[in-house]
Amino acid sequence: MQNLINFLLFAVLSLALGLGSAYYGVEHGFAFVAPRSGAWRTWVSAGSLTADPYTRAHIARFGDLPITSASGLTYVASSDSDGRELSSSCDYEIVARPLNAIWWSIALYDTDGELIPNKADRHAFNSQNLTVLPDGTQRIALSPEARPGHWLPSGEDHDLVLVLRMIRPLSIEQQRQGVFFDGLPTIKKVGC
Amino acid sequence: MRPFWPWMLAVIFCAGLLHVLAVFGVPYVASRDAWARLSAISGENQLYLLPIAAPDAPLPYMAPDVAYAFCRFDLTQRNVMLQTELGDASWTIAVSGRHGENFYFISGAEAKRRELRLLLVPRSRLSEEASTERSEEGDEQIIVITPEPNGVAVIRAPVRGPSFATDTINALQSAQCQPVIEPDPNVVAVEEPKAVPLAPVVRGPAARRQAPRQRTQVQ
Repeated sequence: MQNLINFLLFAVLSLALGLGSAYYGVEHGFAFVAPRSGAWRTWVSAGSLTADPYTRAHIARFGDLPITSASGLTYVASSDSDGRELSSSCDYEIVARPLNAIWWSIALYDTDGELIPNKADRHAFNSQNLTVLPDGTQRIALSPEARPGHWLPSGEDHDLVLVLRMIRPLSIEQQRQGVFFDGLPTIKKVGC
Repeated sequence: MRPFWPWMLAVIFCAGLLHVLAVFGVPYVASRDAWARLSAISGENQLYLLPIAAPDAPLPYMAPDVAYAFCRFDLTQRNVMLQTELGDASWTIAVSGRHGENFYFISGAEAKRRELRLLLVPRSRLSEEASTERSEEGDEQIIVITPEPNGVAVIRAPVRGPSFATDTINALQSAQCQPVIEPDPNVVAVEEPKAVPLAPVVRGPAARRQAPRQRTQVQ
């Protein structure tokens, strides 16, 4: 009887630990394959010929078609800079400083990766259409209600995901040194 | 009472084994990877232009401020030529393998020319390849060696804003992706009338809301 209990415990624990940790690693990424910078996370080796198994599994599972980090960086944020989940029931302010890249963009999605329908048909701002304020910042209001300036409509009853894309953000010297981008935009909750 | 630690060791060993098998197995069992998703809507060696910010995009998290054109290439029989204008410095071309390994990338800033021609050649045929960086017609071309015969080339054209979307789409519509047909030296060339490509129609946001989405085949 004791052996049977031990075996059942063994089976349940093995499955839970083995498959649970694999799911977490593929879905969210461990820090050594998908490091965080503030609210943003990136799969560093996505698109690389030498990508690690977690990144390969993540890309295959989500159906993404990435470019390598040497060519472009993609950061994903599903929480604000204080670590709280992004929700369409709250207002946020995204504050950026012009990023050193050929082109960059911040786009808004729901958690399934779908665009959020809105009357303004607006889903993103990029380095070509964001104005720089006198203090040197670029600000985007993320809100379900219309806001002055650059307003990104967040719809209703969604959890939100922001994606920051940069084309050629790093110099060749930075790539050699393995430096990754700092000075990413902050996402601050304004109110709910 | 028997010691418990052998069971715990067995749990750690089996959990580790399951973890490794699951992580390594996902790419082989994933039925909705990018290749599968694009295969469902496209043929090979043809360029397809996707509507900008479409609500039912074929891939998740596609950039809503980028116009995408993609070509699933098959180099088993022939090389493939990808030819496009480069609207500005932010336009990019990425060539990736069947499983998403991005082995070639160029942006408009690096290309430093208005038009780009990429000749895709499989590594397996490299030894018998006679193409150079100038085509028989004298056009400059970049030879891209692909590690496997199948893959995807994606042209990404950022859109400055909604009012620029039509210009960007028009520029993308001139892009081509087609097999390179070597002239047969035993056949005397006869000039044929040029085929007129079908003008692609890309639906605007208003039309998309009312009608089911159509993907436009450029060539």
